[in-house]
Formats: sequence, structure tokens, C-alpha cells
Amino acid sequence: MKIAIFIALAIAFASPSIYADDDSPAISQDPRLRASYFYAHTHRPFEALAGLSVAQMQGAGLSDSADLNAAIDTAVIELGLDAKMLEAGSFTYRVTGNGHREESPIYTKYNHGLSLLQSSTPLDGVKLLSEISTGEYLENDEKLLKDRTNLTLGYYLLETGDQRGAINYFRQVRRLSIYANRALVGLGWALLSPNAGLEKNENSLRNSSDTAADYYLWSGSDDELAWSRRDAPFRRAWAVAKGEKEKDLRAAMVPWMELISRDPLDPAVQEVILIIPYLMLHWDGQQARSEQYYISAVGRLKRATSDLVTIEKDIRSGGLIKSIQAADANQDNGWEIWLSDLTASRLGGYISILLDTPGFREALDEFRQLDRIHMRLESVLAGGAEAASALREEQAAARALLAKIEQHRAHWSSVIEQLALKRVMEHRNRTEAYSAEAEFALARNYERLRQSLSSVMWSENES
Amino acid sequence: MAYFSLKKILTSVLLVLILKSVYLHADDTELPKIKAQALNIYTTLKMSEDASFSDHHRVHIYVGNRADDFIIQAAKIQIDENAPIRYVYSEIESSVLLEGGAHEITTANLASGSHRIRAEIVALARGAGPNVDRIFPSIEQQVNVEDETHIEFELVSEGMKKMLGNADIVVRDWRLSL
Repeated sequence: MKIAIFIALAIAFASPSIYADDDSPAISQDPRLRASYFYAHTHRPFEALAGLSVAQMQGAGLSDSADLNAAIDTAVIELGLDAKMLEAGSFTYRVTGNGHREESPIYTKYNHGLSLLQSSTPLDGVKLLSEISTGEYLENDEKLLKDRTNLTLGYYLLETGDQRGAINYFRQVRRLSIYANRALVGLGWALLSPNAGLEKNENSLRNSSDTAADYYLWSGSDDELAWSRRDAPFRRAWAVAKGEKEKDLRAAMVPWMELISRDPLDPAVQEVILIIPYLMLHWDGQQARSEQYYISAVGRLKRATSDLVTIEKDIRSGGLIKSIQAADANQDNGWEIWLSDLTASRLGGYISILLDTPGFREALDEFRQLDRIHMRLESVLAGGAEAASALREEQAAARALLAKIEQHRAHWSSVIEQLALKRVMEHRNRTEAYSAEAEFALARNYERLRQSLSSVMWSENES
Repeated sequence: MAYFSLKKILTSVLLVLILKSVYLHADDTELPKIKAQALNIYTTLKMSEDASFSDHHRVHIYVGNRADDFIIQAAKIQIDENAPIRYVYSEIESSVLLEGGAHEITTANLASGSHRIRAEIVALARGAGPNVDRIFPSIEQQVNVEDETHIEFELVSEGMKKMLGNADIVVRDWRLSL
């Protein structure tokens, strides 16, 4: 009992009073400056700078905090502004940075490694890339680059015949990264002959017999997915996997079976939809199942094509822009919820197939920024309707500015739509090619069936 | 010999012109100027907006975090009997709060006089796994509004509270005119 009373007293003494003492936090005491710091670091540069500017006009002294100044620099750069323009306005702050984002050295290293892979000394490239692959990273982008490096190395070693090395790299790609599906396709191929590459001397990694793969060098296109199947180990049409080979085949099936039920718009999944029946055809006793897989492949790929047509119509009717704006209007959440809103509200989520389009992200960022500025200006105009009439001039200027912003916003929205349509068209062309390939394979199977109905079988003289 | 159709030539010339206009528009230098202008006009209008209410006053409410051992996941603010305002923080946002940033969760126009503000914060021990219990500190505070007011609800974990793995909300009332 005494102990309980003692603890209660101790808590009462120790808990802080309702009005806290003023000991200084890292940035500054002023909540307005701290709010600017918050916005600058959470990709809301306009709000950060506007808040700072209002605070300054209200008499808040700019603190000498290096953190806050760095945050302001970030906001200025993110908004794409020139420091001189700001100094001419209501702002009085100095931009301390050099006006450029600093790029992490591993990007340069990756690009250098990639170009070395295609040069006459590919082993230097492998060495450089494997340094990235073994590094420890904290930033999301760097982790993603590490995944990409592992994928690149995996496909490179697969091409050059070092399957064991390839397995090692493919396995390191994180399960939920955007490169995971591609890595699973490669992992399957590497597992098909897991011991190849053991006896190889490192210096003979790329000898003359490997030149067949030259046309399919990893290029960032979807081609690297397809070359392995076209360059598959079953060169002879009727080769059948048995015994040890069958074990390897089973092992290779594991990653592929994992993939087959995923989003049929993903190029890696489409590839696997064709790989599995192709292999079944060469697997002792599985030929009948191969046909079923081909039939389901044709059905799924046709559905994927019609989905892509629906997506195209949606983009053309302005659905993409509308859903981006609707998702952005949700203000009660700091997570990038608009991304998942977009993917949830549509048939399987089409923003995910657009995100890797070159230039798409920049256009999207610019559009969303302009949209936010437009929204802010509009709301301040509406809120200040009853405000002093002395500001008529400013209000007229704001309205003129709104029209200009609208013009630019329309431009960027059309850029987004054009890029999206181009990307959807690429997806459609590829899906149609895959669908045709599946139908052709099916026709080949039927042809075999037709051949078995030959007169030899039905000859009455036989028995 | 190649066959040239006038229609084809005209179409391609038109296409080139359209593409050119698109690209000319794309690399404009006008946009930064517009953004800077927007910033200036917004600031001016915002200032006048803040000054324009005679019987009402702007009350800015912030959420901050000074408890090093906790990350804030969500916050809920209710002023008088109005509908509560909720906000869910992302990972980046909660780490910025921890660095000393403050989130302006809402701005309300309140009449002069006393108001009751209720704040609830959902926080999680920093670096803890998903199965660790969250804490739900809350506070109810009477605030006297006579002028533009900045109120901050800050999560603090000190002394015995810290030892027991708990935290409190403290209210900071920033009167800028003072």
C-alpha cells in the first residue's frame, strides 16, 4: 500500500504541468515556422513557403536554424522556383543551397556498371554492380535501385550461362518491390539448370558460344523477359524432361506458379502465362494439362486486352485526371492515399501500369502542384470575399493568375493523358502479341490431334 | 518511285506543327514566375483575410511531438461541439514531427470568449513491433479566444511517465501579440 502511494506521488510530481516550460526544440519555438518545416519535408512546398511568408509578414523573425533553412531550400527547389524571383517579392530569405538536388553516388555507379556490362570488359561492370548489390541502404529509392541491380545482374549471368550466380541475385530482389515479378521469371529459368556455371572459369563468362543471346541484352525493355523462353533449353520440339531434369523442372515451376495468378496486365505475368504451358508440353505426362493452360491463357489475355480498351476509354473521357483530383481532395490523411485510391476504384488499378512511363512522374507532380496552388488561391479568394475592399486590385490579380494557372494545369493534364495513352497502347500491343502467340500454340496442339486421326489409325486391315 | 500524296504531306506538316507547339509549351520558363506570383498574392490575401474578422478570430491548431520515444500515428481535435477533425500521419510525417516540425491540423474561426478544445493522440512506441499496445493520451482544455491564436497540442514523455512508457499531451498557447 505504501509503495502504491509512493508511486502515485512520484507520478504526480514527475508528470509535466499542463502549460509546459519553454525549453527549446530543435528548430524554433514558433509553431508557424515549425509548420513550414513540416510542409517542406512532406512535399507540400507551396504551403511551406506561403506559411513562412505569412509568418514573416506577421513579424516572425527567421531563426538561424540550419535545419529550417535547409527545409526552405528543399521547398524552393521542389516548387521549381528561382531564388531571385522570391527575393523580389514579399520574401526576405536567402537560399543557402546551390539550387540542385544532390544525387546519391550509387546512381552514377549503377549507370557506369550498366554501361560496362555492354562494353568489352563486362566483368568490371559485374564487379561494380555487385558492390551495389552487397551494400546496405536505408532510403527507399536506394533499396529499389539495389533490387534493380540484382535483377540486372541476374539476367546478365543467366544470359552468360552462370545460372548459380543468377539464382543468387534473383533471390535477393525484395518480394514486394516492382522488380519482384521479373525476378521470379528469371529465377525460374535459372533453376531449370541450377548447376550450370559451376565449372566455368570467370574469364570465359562470355565466350563465343553465348553470342546467340547478344540480341537480347538487358535493355530495360520487356524483351529480357521473353528471350529466355525463345532461347529455352528445349531446342528440339519433342524434347521431354525426365529424371533429374524433371526435378529441376519442378523447382523452376515454383516461382512461376507463384506468378501465374497475379495481375495479367503485368508483362512478367503474361510471360509466365505462356511459359507454363510451354514447359508442360515438354514435361513427361503433362501434355494434356498444357492444353488447358493454353486455353486459360487465351481467355485471360483476351480479357486483359478488353480491360485495356476500357482503360483507354476512361483516360480519353478524362477519368484519370478526375480520379487523381478526387483522391487529392482527401485531406485527412498524410499517406499517399491517392495512389491506392486510384488503384482500388478501378478494375485492378491502372495507375500502377503507368507509373514507370518516362516523364509520367514529373508531369504528375507538376499537375498536382498546380492543382494545389489553384485550390489554395481559390479558397483564399472565397474566404476573403467579405474582406477589405481595398484589396480589389490584388483580388483581380489573383483571378487573372488563376486563369493562367488553369491554362498550365490543362497543359500538364493533357501531357499526363498523352503519356498514359501511349503507355496503354504499348501494353495493348504486347498483350495482343502474347494472345496471338497463345492462340498459335493452341492451334499447333490441335494440329497434332488432327494428325492422330490419320488413315493409319483407322486402317481396317491393321487388325 | 515514291508516291507523294498532298494529303499525307499536309497531315505530317500539321503534326509537326502541333508537336512543336506542345514542346514549346512544355519547356516554358513562365511557370516559375506564375508560382512566385501566386505565392505573393496568396500571402497578401491571406494577411488581409486574417485581419478581416472583427467578431471572430482565427485559431490555428497544431500537433507536435516532443516525446522522443513515441511516434504519432493519428490525432483528433474537437472544438466545442463541432464535428471532430481527424488526421492520420504517414511515416514521413510522423518522423518530421519528431524532428521538431508542427502540423497545422486545422484553422477555425471562433467567436471571442471561452472555448473547449479536446485533443486525442494515438501514438506508438518508437521502433516497436506492430503488436505493441498503442497509447491514447487525451486532454480537454478551456481556451480563451480574444485575438488570433496559435494553440499547440504537444506529446511529451518525461520523468515517471517516460519510465512507465507513457506520454501526456501538453497545451502551448502562442499569443503572437505578446
